[in-house]
Amino acid sequence: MKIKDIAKKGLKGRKRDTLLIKLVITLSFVFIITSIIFQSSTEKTKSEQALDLYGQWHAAYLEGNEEILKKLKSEKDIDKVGVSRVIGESDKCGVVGTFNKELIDMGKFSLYKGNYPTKDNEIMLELNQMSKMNLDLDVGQKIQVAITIPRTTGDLKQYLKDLSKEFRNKGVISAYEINKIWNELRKLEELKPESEKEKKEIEEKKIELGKKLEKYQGDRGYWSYQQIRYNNHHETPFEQIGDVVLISSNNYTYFYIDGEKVNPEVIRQDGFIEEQKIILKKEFIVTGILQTYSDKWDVGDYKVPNAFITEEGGKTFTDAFYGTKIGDFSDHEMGYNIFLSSDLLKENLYKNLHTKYPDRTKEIEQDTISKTYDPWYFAHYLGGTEQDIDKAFKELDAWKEPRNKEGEDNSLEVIDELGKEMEINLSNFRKNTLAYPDTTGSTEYVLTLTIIAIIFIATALAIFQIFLTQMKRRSRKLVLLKSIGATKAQILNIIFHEGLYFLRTGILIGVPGGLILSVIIVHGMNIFGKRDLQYHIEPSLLLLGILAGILSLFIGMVVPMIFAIKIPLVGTMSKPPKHTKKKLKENRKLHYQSFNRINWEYFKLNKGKTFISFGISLITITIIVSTIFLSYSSFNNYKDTVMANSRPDYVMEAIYGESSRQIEALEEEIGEIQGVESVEVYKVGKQLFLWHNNLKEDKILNDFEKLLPKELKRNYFNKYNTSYEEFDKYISDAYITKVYGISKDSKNFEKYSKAITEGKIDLDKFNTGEEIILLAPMYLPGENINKDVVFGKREVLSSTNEDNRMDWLFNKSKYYKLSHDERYSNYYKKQNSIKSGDTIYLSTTREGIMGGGDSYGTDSLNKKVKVGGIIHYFPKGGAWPFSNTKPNYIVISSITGMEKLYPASIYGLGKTEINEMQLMIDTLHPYKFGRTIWHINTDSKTSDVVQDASLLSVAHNNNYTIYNYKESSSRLYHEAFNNVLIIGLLGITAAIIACIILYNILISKMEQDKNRIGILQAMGVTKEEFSKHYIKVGAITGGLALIIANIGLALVFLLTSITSMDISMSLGGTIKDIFLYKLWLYPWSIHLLLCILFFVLTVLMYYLPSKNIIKQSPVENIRSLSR
Amino acid sequence: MAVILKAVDIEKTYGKGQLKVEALKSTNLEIEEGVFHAIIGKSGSGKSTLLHILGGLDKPTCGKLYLENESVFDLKDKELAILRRRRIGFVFQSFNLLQEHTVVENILMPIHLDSREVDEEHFNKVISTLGIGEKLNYYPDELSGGERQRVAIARALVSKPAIILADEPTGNLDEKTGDEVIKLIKDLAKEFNQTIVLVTHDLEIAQNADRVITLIDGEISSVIDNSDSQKI
Repeated sequence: MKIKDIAKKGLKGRKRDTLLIKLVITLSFVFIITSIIFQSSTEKTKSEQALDLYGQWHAAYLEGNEEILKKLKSEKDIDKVGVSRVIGESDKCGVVGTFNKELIDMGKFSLYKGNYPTKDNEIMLELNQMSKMNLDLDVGQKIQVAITIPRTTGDLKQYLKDLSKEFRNKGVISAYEINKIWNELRKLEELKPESEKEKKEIEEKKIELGKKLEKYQGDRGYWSYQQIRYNNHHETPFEQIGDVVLISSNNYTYFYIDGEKVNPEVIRQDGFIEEQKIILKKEFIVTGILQTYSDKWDVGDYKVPNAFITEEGGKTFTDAFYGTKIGDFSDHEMGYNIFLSSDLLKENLYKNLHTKYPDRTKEIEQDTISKTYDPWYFAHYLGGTEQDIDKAFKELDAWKEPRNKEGEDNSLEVIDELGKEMEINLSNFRKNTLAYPDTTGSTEYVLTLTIIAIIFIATALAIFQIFLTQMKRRSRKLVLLKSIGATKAQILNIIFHEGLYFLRTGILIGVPGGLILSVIIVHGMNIFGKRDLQYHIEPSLLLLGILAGILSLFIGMVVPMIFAIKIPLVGTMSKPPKHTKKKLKENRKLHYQSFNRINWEYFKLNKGKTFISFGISLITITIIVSTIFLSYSSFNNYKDTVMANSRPDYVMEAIYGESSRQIEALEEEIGEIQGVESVEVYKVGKQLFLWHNNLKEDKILNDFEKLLPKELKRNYFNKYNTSYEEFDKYISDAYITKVYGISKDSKNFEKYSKAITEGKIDLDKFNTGEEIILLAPMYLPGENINKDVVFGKREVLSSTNEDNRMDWLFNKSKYYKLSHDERYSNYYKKQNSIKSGDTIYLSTTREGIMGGGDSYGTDSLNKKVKVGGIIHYFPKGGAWPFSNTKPNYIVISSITGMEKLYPASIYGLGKTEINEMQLMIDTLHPYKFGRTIWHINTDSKTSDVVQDASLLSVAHNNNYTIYNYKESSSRLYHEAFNNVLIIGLLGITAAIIACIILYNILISKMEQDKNRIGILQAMGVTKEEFSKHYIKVGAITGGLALIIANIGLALVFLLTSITSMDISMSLGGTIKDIFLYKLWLYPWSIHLLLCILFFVLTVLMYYLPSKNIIKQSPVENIRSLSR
Repeated sequence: MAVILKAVDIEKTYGKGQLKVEALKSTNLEIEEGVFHAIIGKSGSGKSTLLHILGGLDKPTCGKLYLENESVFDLKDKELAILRRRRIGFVFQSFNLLQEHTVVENILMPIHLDSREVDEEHFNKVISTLGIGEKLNYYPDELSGGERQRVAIARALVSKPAIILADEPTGNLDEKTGDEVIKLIKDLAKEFNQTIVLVTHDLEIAQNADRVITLIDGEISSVIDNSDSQKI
């Protein structure tokens, strides 16, 4: 008989053990394969989705030139070069650019309608561009594309310097210089001489200055500067080149001395082109509509086309632009966006080539002088010195600067997902980091490896335990084999073959089982979870998993194999129990030998065995409760970002205050969209000046002021704005914040009025705007509070928005921690500079052009209001967006109250076009019209294309912007769900294997007890007594394991909570915090259910093996000793 | 003398079909009160099977067993266990003492399991007769084979059972100790007027019994009364 036959027959003789081992190894393979395939599928889906969204290109060189394009094309590692030449920006279609076949391949574009253009008069438009521009086009229609290319103008400063010199030579003195003489004269007038000598000197000086002035006064009584005239001239020469019409729009200014000859020829020859635009017009046929891609690709601030034309189409434009007789525009570069793909290097392409392709030196952008160019202003300086002209430009810059600064924070209300720092990549040569993120360190990847490791360990342990028990039971047979001449090698060979048989079953059943289970999970998630997972097998990972399964079996077998070959031919390997010798006593008290006591004595002598089974029970329940807890923790990010902040699914924003009629109509319209659950609307007024008596002493505001970079201080504190110097202190010393206008009948009001932590709001007075609610976050002083910390403007601007700036600065500097979280209400301090019942002053500027058109908005609207209530913290659930950004001293008023401060926010768009409104907000009245925000919540967590489209349509029809938070919330949710599934699989696998180990230990223990049971049966112990005993033991073991595992988990949670807390809480406070906040959504029912299940299972695992034994006759059990 | 235990048409078979083994074939037997019975036979003759059936430790394939006129196998499991606890004492070849209990605990275990009061007088008499008074607080593994068997006999005697069944009680003992144990059992039978059924394959031991029942291939071939050397 061959060794393998002995092994095979041996297995048949030990059916139960064989079955258990086969079960363990099969389960191990099933779960390893399932988790690997699930992980591979989610990764593959993510990566495919990333490629669809962000393009397949590995690297790109943006705004390159022909030389760079040529060089890149000659790179041997680059297989595909997708080229798009950016022609320019058009009025209707956004950026127009060309494409080649390679770009289409690696762009993974998706056509919404139609086809790609093939002829030079065909165009393909991006979907979002059509919405943006309100285009109602369809495939086949014609569109007139007008590309405007702004030209850099000449050097105005030098032109003016030369002109000034020329005028001066002609005897013209600048108004600026004459004004200086007048000012000097005025000062002399104001002087009060103390002596005659001094009086004389002043008079002489005055005469001298008077003569100077006379000299500058011409024959006709004009001052010399008054002789300076200027003329504007606009002309639009055009040329038809092929089917392209090129128009040059030129704006000239010409300064001259009164009386000089002026005509278009003179102006064209000697004037200054203050603005020049080249317009390229051509008619195209729309052949396709492209799904939006431009806002998704990793191209930073670089422009990519919103409208694609063929390379031939592009050539018609470039031929016209560079070949026109109207002018030489060869200095203007139409850049190339070059997208690269490498089969060999893939995402490492950038790494390998980036040193060869440094950033191009960017030309200093022409100052946007045209926007503020005013010939009247410069005319004052003509005739002056070069220094005077320099001064003129400096003053102009100084005037422009504050206007630009105010516009700097003209951001939308919507905040980025986590308010996190964002780095902007400005390099020309860049990697496609969005399509190829680093996945090796991702949570899912680590989790999968952890699963394989844990299943590996659990399987090895289970195999070890089952095999070892089996070896002990098989010792007689092994001894027999040895006694008839089997060598150690042969014994090992037998056991090794047994391993091979187990492996065969494991692989033949486990691997297909894993494949089937993974198919069920992936398809189940697609069907029931509305997911779009692709079934994918990663061969290398799969191989690793199978290898781990094989290794776990043989590693688990090593020790039992050693045990088997070491079994002695005579004697026993087991030792008799050790007793503590009892001393004989005269009047000894005999213990009553109840069945319980008999069992207790037995337990005392067999503590080791009992503790092993108890230990395994403990491990099993620990795995189960840890799995629930870890699964719950997987949702932390979702919980903290979405749920705790009450983040809405969509936020829609109008850049102006919408009219109440329109708001009502929209609420109805949005409410009718399928799946929309609730719509909450409010208005926001920015640049609100808040003043209170105690504001100067407000520690938080003072420290905020200290930390702000000097350029940003004026955005928050009026004292840094010289425009308000002359105003009352409630404007000049005001803190700049925002006012939110909510309706008294809205859910928002209900939420905020309930959240008031100090004071009480009078509903009527709130409605009229006489009372307001003030939002003032709690604070906790940090370790650096008195240290000097300096932040740079760029750093702050790139990392924050106006709402989270204070929180960010305090956090980063470790000055304070701010919180709106109720859990810290007993530990954080509450701001008390402003108390409920106090009166505060709220003001806004009129934002008008004042004083005859040369000064900007210094008029103001003022209002005295009472602080009805203060919100220091929100109840559980937070209040978006405040809970996420924690801005300080936010005013919450009624819509009426808010509109009184922002009168222009009542009317909606009115007769103004949206682009006019946009222009007004951008340039003249950033805050006058307020803003309107809608929070929209839907009834499912899954992103819905139809719902998105419907809301997008509402937004586009009304010129609003819509922000989809649902997508990112859904992503967070699904990521958490994936982790739960993987953790769940891991937990189930480990728990099942632990249960198998426990069951095997109990069976083995029970078999060893057979003889004892038989003896007790012979002595008359009934079946019921045995059953009760084993049920009791199971209940005690299960119950104790449950208690210890839960206490252990609670302790671990308590300790980690204490160490991760910002503040030091009392033990009671920490426990309360854990239950109220950290575990506020904990699935207690599942926890309880699984604990009960485990308890029942443990009792059954103790009871069932005993049942099989006690149903046998005492004789059979007693005989078992000799088996 | 009154019949205390009566086996009627007891049969015991193991296995099925061709593998069927008839351990006992239609066995009828009467055990009389106060008599020391020995069942003798070769290995595999069915003597231990018969003893286990007589003690209610194993169930016959068919047939009836009456203990003091009560049909044993008509009892429910629990009643059967109680019957064993109260009315039958066992002595096994391998002693079957519980290692974790002292001698005294092992002896009193059947009484305690039955929640009965210990008859101190009877207990003292038993341990003094068996000569294990000095070893009461010892553990079984601290005793010699003979001492262990004495403890096992004491355990069987202490609950004053109607009958004691001993399965090869000397099988694990040396000859001298075995003789002592047999003498002890014989004395006890007289001393306590105890009915004893002892299974052995040793003719010499069987000679000590009042009555010898011989089993051949699962059948009772003879019943010899040693007192009058009369074959029944």
